[in-house]
Amino acid sequence: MDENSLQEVQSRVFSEVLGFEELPFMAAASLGTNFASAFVDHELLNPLSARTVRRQRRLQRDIALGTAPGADGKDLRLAVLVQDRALMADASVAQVSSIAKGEVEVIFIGRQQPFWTRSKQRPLKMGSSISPADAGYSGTLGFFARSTTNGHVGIVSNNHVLANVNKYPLGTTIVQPADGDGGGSPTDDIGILSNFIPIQFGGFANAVDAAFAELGNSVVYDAINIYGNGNTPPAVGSLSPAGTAAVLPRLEVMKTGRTTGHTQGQVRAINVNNYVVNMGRQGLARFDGQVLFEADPNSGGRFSRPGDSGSLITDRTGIPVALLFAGSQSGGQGNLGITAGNPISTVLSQLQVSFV
Amino acid sequence: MSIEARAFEAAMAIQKEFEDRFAAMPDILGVGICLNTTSDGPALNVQVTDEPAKAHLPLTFRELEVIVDVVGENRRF
Repeated sequence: MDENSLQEVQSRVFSEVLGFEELPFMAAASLGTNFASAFVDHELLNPLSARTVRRQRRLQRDIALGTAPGADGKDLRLAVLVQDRALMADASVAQVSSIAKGEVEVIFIGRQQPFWTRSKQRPLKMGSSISPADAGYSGTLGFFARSTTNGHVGIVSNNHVLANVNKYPLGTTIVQPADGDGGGSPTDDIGILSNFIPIQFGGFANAVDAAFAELGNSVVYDAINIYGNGNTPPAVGSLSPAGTAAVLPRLEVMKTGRTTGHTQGQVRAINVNNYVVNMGRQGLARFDGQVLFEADPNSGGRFSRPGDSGSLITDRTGIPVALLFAGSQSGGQGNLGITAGNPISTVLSQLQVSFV
Repeated sequence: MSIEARAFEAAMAIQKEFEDRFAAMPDILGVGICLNTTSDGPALNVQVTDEPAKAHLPLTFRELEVIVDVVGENRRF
């Protein structure tokens, strides 16, 4: 089937099998959220109907739809991704096949688990999710550092992750996993916000979006290993903080972040000035001297997404390059978006910290 | 092909001239140095909000290629 037919089939499956309802596009837009589609769970709109949709709730949890190449390698087929083996022979899957007139590939993918980055990690690992307690969002733990002023060991991430853009006071409790990933105080406390570089607005040039949180005495951490993707995260490299990388366009880099996990990319541009970033409610902030990154041309995926802020970007040998803090949805290699980072030397000097 | 760092340093002087002339335009979201399309030298890299913004920019500036990325907007991640 062609792409339009596939979309029609997916729409029918969403409504007839999975029990989602389609909102008029403008109604979805008026809710003020960027919906991936106009299909919403009607239980959310009408809580009284909860009992009647229990079975659909299970299907919604265990079945996902995608696109698979057709048998001839040209057309498309509906991909039905099933997490529960018992559903492989279920009438609902047969109904999906009927709607798609047999142009279906049913794939058992097993129970999917969230990235390790979003769960509790002890010892603490670079790349895991962090936030202030009760912040309602998630960011990334970049790396472990020691204050050069008092010798205390802590973690480095962004101002907008640890201090919510100048908002939280010093002494704020930091949790891992992040509040946005189910973490909470006091169970998941790891330290307190102890320094941040204020972000300037009104056209003033910023150098970094960076903050430091001192770790509690009893918190154990792994300052060496860089972890990859997998339910039991494999170490894919070691941090080499003593090394120096020549940061020039096409330098191959990697990072591990809360949202996209371990990804690889390359330097897109250096010495980027007048880099204008939407910091949320506070408005636009300008940054000078930044480094831009793009996805690895062979990866097929984005280098970063929201929630990866605070990630340490290194070269492929583990030499630190930059602290990830912003990005765009388009531009760069394959139009997969561009990621921005503060040069790591500037982060260290402004925060007055050194690698542990 | 290896490109010496000093080639990029020379490009930064031209970048400064470019910024003085164009960076105040509201649809420009950043100006830096990248590789040119033949990967044998530096180029100016400009981030802009949308396609129409490209029309306001030259294809080259002081003999450096101008490579434009349409990014929509840059957001904190």
